[in-house]
Amino acid sequence: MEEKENQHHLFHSHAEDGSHGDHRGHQHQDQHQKKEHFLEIENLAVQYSSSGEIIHAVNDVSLSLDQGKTLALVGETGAGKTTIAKSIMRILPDRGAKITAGDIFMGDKDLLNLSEDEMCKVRGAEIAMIFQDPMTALNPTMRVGDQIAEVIKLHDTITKAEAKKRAIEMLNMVGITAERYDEYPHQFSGGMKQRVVIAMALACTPDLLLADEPTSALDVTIQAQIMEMIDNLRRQHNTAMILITHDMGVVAQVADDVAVIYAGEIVEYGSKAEIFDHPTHPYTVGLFNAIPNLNEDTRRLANIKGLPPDPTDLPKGCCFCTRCQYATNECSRHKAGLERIGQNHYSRCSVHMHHEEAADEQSR
Amino acid sequence: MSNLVEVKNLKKYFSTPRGMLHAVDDVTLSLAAGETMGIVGESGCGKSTLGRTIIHLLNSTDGSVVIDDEEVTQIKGKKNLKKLHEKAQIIFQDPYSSLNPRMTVEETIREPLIISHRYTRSEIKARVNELMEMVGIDERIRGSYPHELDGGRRQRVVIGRALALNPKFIVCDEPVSALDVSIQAQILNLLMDLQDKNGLTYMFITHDMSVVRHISTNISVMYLGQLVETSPTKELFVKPLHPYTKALLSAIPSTDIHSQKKRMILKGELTSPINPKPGCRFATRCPYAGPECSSPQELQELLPGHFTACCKAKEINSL
Amino acid sequence: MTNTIAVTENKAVRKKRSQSQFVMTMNRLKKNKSAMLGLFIFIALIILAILAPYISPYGYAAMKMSEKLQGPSLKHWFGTDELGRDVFSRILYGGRYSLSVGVLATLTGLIFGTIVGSIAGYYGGKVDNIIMRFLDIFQSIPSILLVIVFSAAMGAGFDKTIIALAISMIPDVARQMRASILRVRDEDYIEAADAIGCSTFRQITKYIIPNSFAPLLVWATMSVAGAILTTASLSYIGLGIQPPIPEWGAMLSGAKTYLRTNAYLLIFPGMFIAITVLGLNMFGDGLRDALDPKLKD
Repeated sequence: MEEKENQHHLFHSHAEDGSHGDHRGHQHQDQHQKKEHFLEIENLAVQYSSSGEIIHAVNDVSLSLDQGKTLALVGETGAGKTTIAKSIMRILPDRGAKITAGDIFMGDKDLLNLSEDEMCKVRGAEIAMIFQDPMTALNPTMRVGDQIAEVIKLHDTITKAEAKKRAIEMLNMVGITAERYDEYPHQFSGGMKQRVVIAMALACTPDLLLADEPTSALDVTIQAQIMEMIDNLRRQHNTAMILITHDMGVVAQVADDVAVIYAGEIVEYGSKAEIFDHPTHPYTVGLFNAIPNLNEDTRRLANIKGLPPDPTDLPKGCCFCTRCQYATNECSRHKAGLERIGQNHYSRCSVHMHHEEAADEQSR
Repeated sequence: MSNLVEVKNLKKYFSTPRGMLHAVDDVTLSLAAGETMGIVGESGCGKSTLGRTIIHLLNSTDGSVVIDDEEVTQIKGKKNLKKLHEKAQIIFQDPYSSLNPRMTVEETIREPLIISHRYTRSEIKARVNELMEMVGIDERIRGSYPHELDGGRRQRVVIGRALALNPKFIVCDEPVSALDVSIQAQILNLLMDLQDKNGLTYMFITHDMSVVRHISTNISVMYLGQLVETSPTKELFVKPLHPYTKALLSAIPSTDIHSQKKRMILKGELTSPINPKPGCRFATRCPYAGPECSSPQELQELLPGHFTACCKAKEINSL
Repeated sequence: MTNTIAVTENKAVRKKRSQSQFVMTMNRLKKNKSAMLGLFIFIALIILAILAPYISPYGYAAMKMSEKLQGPSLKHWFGTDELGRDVFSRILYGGRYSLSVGVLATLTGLIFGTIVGSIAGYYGGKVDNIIMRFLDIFQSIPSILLVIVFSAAMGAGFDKTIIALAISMIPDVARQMRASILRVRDEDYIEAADAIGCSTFRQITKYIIPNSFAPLLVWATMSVAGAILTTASLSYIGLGIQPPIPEWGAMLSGAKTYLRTNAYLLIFPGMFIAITVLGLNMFGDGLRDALDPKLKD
C-alpha cells in the first residue's frame, strides 16, 4: 500500500523516523549522473524578509518535468507557486528574497549556480515566462512588434531587419496581422495583449515555459482560444511547461502532471488522472469540493473552514491539520513526508485515504 | 404576484470623445421577491453598469426601473434617495477598495445607521452587534482596519454594511471573483444563508458560470450592452438558445478529464459599443449570422419563461 | 480584473490592539534614525524658543552700548551686536518668531488650500476649471515675488507676513489636494458611501480628506522650512519682520555691514536657520519614506 520512495530520489521526505537515511548519498551520486528528467528542482526553499519578519514562502519543494510535458502547479494565492517559478528564472527581488536551499537543474545546467550574465542568456532564450496580467506585462511606451523583436535580438546575433521579420512571424502565429506591428499596447484588447506576451515568450523557442495564470485576467471565451494557442505552439517546439493556476478546468484541459501546493509545500503530486480521479490529501479533496460543479445541484458548497497558516510562523507539524477534518494528534506534532501511494502519485497525508478505506471496509 | 424589481427598456449611455457609448442598451427584465437573478457576460458587456443604474448609483439615460412599486429613475437629490437606500443596496467586487481604509470594521458597519439619523446610539450599537453576528464577524476584530483583514473577512464587512438598513434587494457585483476558491465557497454559502433568513432578493453579477449556476434561480446573459437571453438556471445550461450563450457555455473549461468537450471557438473581433449599428452586436462573431441580424432583435419567449433576442434561434434550436 | 487576495491566518485576531495606518506609519518612522534626529532637532529648537523668557540671560532688547560688538565670551556666549544686545538671548527669542511664522503660515496655507483644492477636486467640471485657472494666475508669478508684493501691500509685521506666506502657499496645497481627491474619488468606497446615502460633506470630511492627506504631510514639513527661509529673506530686504524683533532673518540683515569685522553676528543666526531647515528636511524625508511602504521592501 504505502511504498516509501526508493528510486524516485526527487521527493526527499523528512520524516522523523529517519526512513531516508541515504538521502544524502543519493544526492551526491546524482550530481555525477545524467539527470533523469529535463527539469529537476530539489529541496527548494525560499524566504522573503519584510519589516523584520521572515516569510517562509517555499519549503522543501522538489519537482521534475520532462521535455514536452506540462506540469500544473495548483494552489491558492500566497501558496508559493509564483515564487517557485520566479526562482527558476532567478528573478526574485534582490532585496528581501533569498533562496535558502535547494538545486534547480535544467538539462545540463545548474541554474542556481550560474553567474548573472550566464543567467541572462538563459532567460528568454531557454526559459520564458508568461505573467499573469497582460496589462502590466507590456511596456506601454514601446511598439508591440518592437517588444517581440527586442527579445529576439537579445539572444540571437541577427540584423534588425531579420529580427523584425521573425517578430512578424510570431505575431502571425498568435493570430495578429502584420499591420499591427507598429501599434502600442493600449490599442490592443486584453486578449490581444496576452497574445503578444505569448509571442514574446515563445519568440526564441524556449525549452521551458513558465505560465503564471496566463488566462486568469481574460474572458472565458478568449481563455479558451489562448490556452489552445499556448498548447499548440508548445507542442510544435516540444517545450516543457509549468502552468500555474487555480482553475481546475484549465488543468484538466492541458496538464500531464499536477502538483498541489499548500503553505509553500507540495502536499500532493501525480499524474492528472490520479489527482482528478483519486485525490488523496485532504486539502486537494477540499479544493475539489469547494468548486461549484456545473453538473451537480448542491445547495451548499462544502468549504474548507479556517485559513492558511501564517507564513512567518509555520507550525511544527502538518500545515493543514488545523483545518482538516481527519486530523489526529500525531498530525500536529509530526510533519509527514511525501509518500508514494500510486503508480505516479505522491501524497503528504494518507490519513484521509486510510479513513476512506476504513469507511469502505465498514460499508461492506 | 407582482415583481419586486421591474426593469423596462433601460438605457445607460456614456458620452465619450469618440462618441456615445451604449453601455446598457434597452434591457428589460424582472425579479420576483426571494429570487436570485444571475447576470452573466464578459468584460464590457455592461452588467456592472446595469446593476449600478438599477439602484440609481448612476443616472439612467432612458427607461424605467420600479423597485417595490416605486419608480426609481426619476428620483432626484440625495434626500429623496434615502428611501431607496433602505430598499436596495450593493456589494462590490473588490473588498479592499470598497472599504474606507481609515474606518474600522465597527465604524464601517455603523455608517449607514448613523447617516440615516433614525437610530439612537444604543440602537446602533445593538444593531451593529446583530449584523456582525449575522455575517460571521468575530467580536475581536471589530476594531480592526481593512488592511489587517483577509479578503474573506473584508467581504463579510461589506455584506454587513449592505445589510445594515435592512434592504430587500441587493445587487451583488462579482462579490466572490476576487477571492480564493475556498473562501469563495464560504462567502457564497453566507449569501445564500442570509437570503433564506432575511428573504432577500439578489441580482448576482458575475462572469463565472459555475458560481452563477450555483446561486441563481434565473439567469440573464448580456453581450455588449444588450440582453440576449433570459431563462431559469438549469434550463440555460441544458438548452441554451442564443448562439452567444452556446459559445459561452462551451468555453467553460470542464473539470471532467475523461470527457473533454470540443470547444466552440469564436472567430472575429468584438464590435465597438460606441455608436453601434442597430441590430445584433454578436453577429460579427456568430457562426449563424445572416442579413436579418442587422435589424433590431426582439426578446421572444421561445420556451416557457425562456426568452432570447435572436431571430435565428427558432431555426438553430429546431423549435 | 483584480487579482485574488492572499489569505492567511489573521494576525488582527491574535493581536491585542489594532493598528491604524497612522500608527503603522509612526512605527516605521520611529525606526528611521535621521528622521528621528531631525524631529529631535526641531523639537529642541521649539523648546528653546518656548523657554526663551526663562533661560535667556538678557532681554532681547536690552542695550548696553559699553559692551557693543564683543565677540563670543563667557559672559555673552554668542557675543553682542552693534547695540550691545546679547546675541544668544536674541537668538532664543528670535526662534519664537521665526519658528512660529513658519508653522503658522504653513498651517494657514494648508487649511485654506485644502478647502479650495477639495472643492475643485470633488465637484470637478466648471467649478474645478474656474478655481484652477485662478490658481494658475497665482502660480505663474514667482512665489518670492508674490510674497514680496503682498508684504509690500500689507506692510511689514508678524501677522501680515504670515498672511502673505500663506497666500503664496495656497495654490500648491490646492493642487496637491485636488490631485489626491481625483485619485480617491474613483475608489469603490466612495461609491459605496453614495450607496448608503452619505452626504457630500461627510464624504469629503470622513472619506476623502483622511485618505488624501498623506502627501500633504510631507509637503507641510518641507514647507515650514521654506517659510522660515522666505521670512528670513523678506526681513533681509526690509519687509517681513523688522528690528528690534530678533527674527533670525532680520538679524542677518542687520549684520550685513559687519560681515568682515564681526562675522559671528551673521554666523549664529545663519547657523540656526540652517539647522532648523536641515532638521525639518530630514524629518520630512523620513516621513515620506514611512508613508510610502513600497520603499521598505
